[in-house]
Amino acid sequence: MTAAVDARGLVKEFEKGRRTLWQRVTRQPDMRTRFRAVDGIDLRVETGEIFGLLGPNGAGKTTTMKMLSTLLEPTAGTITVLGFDAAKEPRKVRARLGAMLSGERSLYWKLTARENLEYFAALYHVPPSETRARIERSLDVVKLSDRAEDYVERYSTGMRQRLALARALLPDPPLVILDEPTVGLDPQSARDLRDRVRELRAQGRTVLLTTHYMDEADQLCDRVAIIDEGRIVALDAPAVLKRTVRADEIVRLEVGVDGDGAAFLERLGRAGTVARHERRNGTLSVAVHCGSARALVPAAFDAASATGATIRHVDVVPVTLEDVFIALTGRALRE
Amino acid sequence: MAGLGAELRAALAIGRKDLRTLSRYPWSMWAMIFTPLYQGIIPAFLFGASFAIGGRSLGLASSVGTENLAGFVFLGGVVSALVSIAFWAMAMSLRNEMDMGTLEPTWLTPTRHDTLLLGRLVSGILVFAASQAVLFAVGVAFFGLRFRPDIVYALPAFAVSAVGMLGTAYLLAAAVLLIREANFFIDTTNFLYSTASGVLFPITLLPAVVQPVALLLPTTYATDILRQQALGARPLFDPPLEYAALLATTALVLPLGRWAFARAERAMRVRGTLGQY
Repeated sequence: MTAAVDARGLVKEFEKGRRTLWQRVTRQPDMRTRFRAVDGIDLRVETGEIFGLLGPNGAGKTTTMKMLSTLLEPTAGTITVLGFDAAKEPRKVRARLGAMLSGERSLYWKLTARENLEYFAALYHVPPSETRARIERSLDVVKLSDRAEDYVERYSTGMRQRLALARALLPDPPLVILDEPTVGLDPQSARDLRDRVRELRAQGRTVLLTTHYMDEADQLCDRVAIIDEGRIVALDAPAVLKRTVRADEIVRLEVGVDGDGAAFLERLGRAGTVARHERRNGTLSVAVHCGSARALVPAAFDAASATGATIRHVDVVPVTLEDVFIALTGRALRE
Repeated sequence: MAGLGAELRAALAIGRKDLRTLSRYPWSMWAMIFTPLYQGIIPAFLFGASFAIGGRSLGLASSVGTENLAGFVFLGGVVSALVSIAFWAMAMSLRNEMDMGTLEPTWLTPTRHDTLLLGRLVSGILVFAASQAVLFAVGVAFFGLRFRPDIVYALPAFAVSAVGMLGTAYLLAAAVLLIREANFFIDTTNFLYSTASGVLFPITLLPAVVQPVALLLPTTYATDILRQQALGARPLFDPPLEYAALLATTALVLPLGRWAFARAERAMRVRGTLGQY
């Protein structure tokens, strides 16, 4: 079966710094350096799945999406989308791709929702005989039929995001790519948009999305690629990824310590795996991976009393994709 | 892959979208129609008229072989408006789309990028037609504007120069995509291009170093042919030579413009600047 997306050895380098016109005219040496935003990504997205690229800001997610959607030319590597080579047949790729890359700013605010969709339907080469039905269907999917005649400037951020999704559905695409679709949305709007994404999968479409929200990737995606500094550091189903963290539970502690808390951490490490610790204003925040919180928490109190520390807060949480990210990179997603 | 019909529908949709957006700013629409008149043509006419002797534009007659100042200035206004379509309605509108954040989603559609540029011509032509109708009505009613019927013989030259302006629009669009902050660039080059085309002054009055540049522009020959047919003005060169030069410059600038646009578009895909503003 043909993969919806097949990317091999994908690299994207950008120039860092600038070279002024004066420097060019006077033939001064080019002092710009290059950095790799995407550094050798291999990616295969199967037909009919929701596939997530999860990573912190600046990890290379959007750059990858722009290369897949033909907006950016890779420095190296090959991309095949729905069987078409993105470098050789970019228009065939774009004709089969519904993309939502820049959200609410990507719409004409002085036009109504329907006028926006009429415009983009023509640009997507939707046959005139089908345009009206496609627009109605797209508006219906994103639950905006009753606001179709309103100017987009009167929409909320969430409604504009949904309209951008409706636009992406106009070509009836087998593949939909969404870049950070819920950024800036309130929880209700974000939940609503995630429901729409699930419906896309139910309709048989493939969805490729980026997010830096671990819950979103966990709840929504069949498979997730964790991306950091332009590389995929892990790729699997969320449940499988979480099992790679050798723990059933995570205990998060906030501990009052004098000094750096090294003695406390050393004793705590005998009862579980200290995955992460951070000291701020005399409070040591610690995340410990363990088999059972029932065993670890008493051990933590013992360690505190033995080293003069004070445990101020205890939180027991299940393993999340953030823990997977921390285990793989030593950093939190939000950093 | 959809063909010419789909591209044509896309171009018309771009025009419809532009006009719809424009209609939501009615004052802006009126300004587009009247600004050339009160900022360019009327001041130029009054300036020229103030130097008339006994109501006769003898200096103009000496320079170009006609005393018809109104005709000279208003026909220059026609070419100036044509130039403005390429500069503002086509090239600069790409910059405006960049500002709004809508250029990237249009670039994501299967419509050819040439069509995304040329589609802007639709609203440009309609605004051009409206502004020229107003311009000529005002000229005839208030400034004694009169033409010879032979003006119709200049229409082929005008049509060829319009094709040349498409090439110029491609070149400008390429520059806009690359430099991005293009308002000053477009404003300045529009003025220089119009001046070098002889829309308000005979190009023989331009500094000697500028005149060779003027001779590279299709609009220089179109303006001259237009005035020759409509007013009986003295042409710069023999008419067959002017037509040949018009065709040659148009044949040069169109492929050059398309090449530059393709290069700029590629540079954007390499640098990732399409969505930046």
